[in-house]
Amino acid sequence: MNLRLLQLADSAFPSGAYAFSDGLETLTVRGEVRTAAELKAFLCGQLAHGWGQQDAPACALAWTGMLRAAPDELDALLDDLKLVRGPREASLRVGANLRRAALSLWPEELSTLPPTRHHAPTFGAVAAALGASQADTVTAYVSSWLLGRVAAATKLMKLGGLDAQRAARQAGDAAQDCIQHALRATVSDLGGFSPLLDIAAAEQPGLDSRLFQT
Amino acid sequence: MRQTGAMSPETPSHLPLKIGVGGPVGSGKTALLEVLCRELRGRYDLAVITNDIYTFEDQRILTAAAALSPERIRGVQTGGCPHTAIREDTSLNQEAVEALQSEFPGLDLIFIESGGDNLASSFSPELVDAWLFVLDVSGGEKVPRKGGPGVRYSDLLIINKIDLAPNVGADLRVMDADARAQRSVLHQSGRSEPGPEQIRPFIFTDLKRGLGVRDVIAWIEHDLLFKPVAPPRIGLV
Repeated sequence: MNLRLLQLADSAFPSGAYAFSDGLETLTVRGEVRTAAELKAFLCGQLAHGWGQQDAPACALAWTGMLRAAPDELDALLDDLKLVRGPREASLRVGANLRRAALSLWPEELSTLPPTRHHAPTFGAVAAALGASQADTVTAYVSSWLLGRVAAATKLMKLGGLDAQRAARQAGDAAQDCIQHALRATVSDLGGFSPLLDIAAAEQPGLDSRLFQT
Repeated sequence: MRQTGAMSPETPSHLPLKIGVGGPVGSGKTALLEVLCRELRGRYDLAVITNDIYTFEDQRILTAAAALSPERIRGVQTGGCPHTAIREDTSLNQEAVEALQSEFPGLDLIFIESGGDNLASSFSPELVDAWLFVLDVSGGEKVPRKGGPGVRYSDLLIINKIDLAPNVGADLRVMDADARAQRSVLHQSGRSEPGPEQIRPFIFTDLKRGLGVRDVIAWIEHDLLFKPVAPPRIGLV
């Protein structure tokens, strides 16, 4: 796998992604996600019906170079599909931070990077410019999301690091399905329907005490 | 000039000086910012960024204290990673800095307060020009002796709540000697023998009563802004 792709997808890459939980915080505070099994269900639900149906295919499509012909199409679509303000703004902020950091690190390789706003298209376009394959790009992107959520879970739940990683492993089939779907996707496939997850994300700003920004 | 990570005299004047304020929970970081804002807001164009772990409590306290107008106080939530937000991945704080600079282009100073953390925390030089670390005496006489990046390498160490020393059995002379030892810098003279010893600045304060505040301001103005003012007094004098 491309070394630069591993660096881009690493949790230490300075994009600010560690401050967002994608609704997990609300669900843990409500007591709806308390165990490793419930965490796995959350992860599989996001991959099959929520995040995985929007961001993973957007990343895959950005890799193909479609942004050169239609620079804002994916970003505009994500603006519309991300119904809840918190996750929508988080996607834009992390995208901007990732883009800035990547341009600082690889200015020559990214000299012709097309304009991007959201995290997923930015990741896909940057990874393509750095020479990563499409399959590796989407795999790294999904893995990065998955491990970021289980890292958040260890702070939000009574859950050890090994149990959190086990939940990620058990969500592996859902992650693979998400990746395969993303690699076959066209623009019209971007969607998702996860009202309970959206409601959880929408309620997060109202929590009395919050660890994460979303 | 003292050994600090401060901006050089050539730094363009329109760029604000960014000062990190770190230290354990309850040591007096927010109290320090409150008094600094009150003392400096008439002379400098100021803004503050607070990093809270769970809430916007520090932002709320500063706003309620009317230390600055609310739009000059920005809160950043750090996903339970207060040290990450000021050291490894400062992007969330950089966002706040850029937003403030965009809204207030004439800013002279931005204070960036970390979420309460432990002795291992430190600030990235990509985020701040200089940083100070606040300890308090009630943590025990031994704390300066324990060292860590804040005690050793911060540009200014503040040991606060000196009024509590008799209540916790802390001897300020011991803390002074330990801080001095931890913050000693032996500069190489270019030959094999070490050059003269320098002590990174440290100041004892009782912020509730305003003791030591003048020296903290002297550190900012003399050491960081290169103003023609007297330097701060170091340790017990």
